[in-house]
Amino acid sequence: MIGVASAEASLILRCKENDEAAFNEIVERHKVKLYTYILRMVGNSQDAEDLAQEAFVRAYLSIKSFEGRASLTTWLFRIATNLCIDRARRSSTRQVIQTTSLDDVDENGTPYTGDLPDGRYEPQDRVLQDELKTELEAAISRLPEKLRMVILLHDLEGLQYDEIAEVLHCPLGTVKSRIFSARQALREQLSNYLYGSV
Amino acid sequence: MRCKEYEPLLSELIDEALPPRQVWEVERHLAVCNRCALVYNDLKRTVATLHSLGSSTPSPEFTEELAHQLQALGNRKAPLRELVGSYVRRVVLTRTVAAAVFVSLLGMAVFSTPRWLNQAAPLAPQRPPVPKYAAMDRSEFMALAVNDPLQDVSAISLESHTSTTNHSNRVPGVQH
Ligand SMILES: [Zn+2]
Repeated sequence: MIGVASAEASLILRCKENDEAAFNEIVERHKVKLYTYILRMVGNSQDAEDLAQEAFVRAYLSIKSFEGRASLTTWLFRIATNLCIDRARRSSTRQVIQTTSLDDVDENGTPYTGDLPDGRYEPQDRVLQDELKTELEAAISRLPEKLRMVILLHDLEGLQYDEIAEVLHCPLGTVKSRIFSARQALREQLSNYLYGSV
Repeated sequence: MRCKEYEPLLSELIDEALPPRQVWEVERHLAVCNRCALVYNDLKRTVATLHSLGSSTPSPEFTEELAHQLQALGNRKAPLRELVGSYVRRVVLTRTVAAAVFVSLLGMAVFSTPRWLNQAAPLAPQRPPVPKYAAMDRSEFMALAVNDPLQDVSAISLESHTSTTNHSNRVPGVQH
């Protein structure tokens, strides 16, 4: 981790000295994470790309004032989150999210739910597991924005409680309780697929 | 403690974020409470599935478009909002003037020509598609920003520009 942190610090330093290549490297390193997060927040790929680009543009314009108190990842997620909140506010009269990315389907028309292999379940469970993932994506998209944000940042992007508090500018206790509420809501929506209710 | 009070702690137990004393307390409850044990297992499976969800890749044009936008801002003479705002205003102004001219021409045609000519009145010309500001070359972009005659920069936001932009359909995660 120290290696990653110092590599990041030197990238930021180079950016502050107007090294364009250094900023491009930051984009390359973070674009998938940032785009995936925004896509799950806004629900369609066109808006997600626009917002992700805007997030990077804003980062580019303000990287000189980046003090390094938070990690670069936390800082980028904060910019992206603010843009998502902004967008939701502006379009609050219409429904922001219907389902997660209806346009995210593969060539066969089946929803794209990621390609990470999961070796923890037996092959006969694979179909059920895939269904569970699809249901989970849909359930995430139905969560209220505040809960969706924390669960995406914590359980999908791997941010710690204190980092999320930094991103959202809210107390640690709020982060914990929202994570719990979000998980509870998802658990209830997935009850048909979980062991406890079988 | 009641079951309802244990539930938030189950979430923190999964994250290994509880102090040892509370871990011991919650685990002792789970050993004797079937209901909380089921909730705990379901929450654990929910979290495990969340961890297994994949990521999406932006379209191949994403990085290219972004590079253009950054290039346009390269010398940072004007802040982003100003650059974009002035461009949007320019587009809006041009369209408004064009629409006003068209409407007045149409009005003149209606009131000053014989009826048989009205029927042959031309259709409204197709508006040209709005190019994404990032796709313009830098000097063009800067010229728009610098030469803009209007002063009120704050009125128009990035959002309003975005909504006027035409996009091709893109499918993330699928390489073109
Ligand atoms: Zn209990």
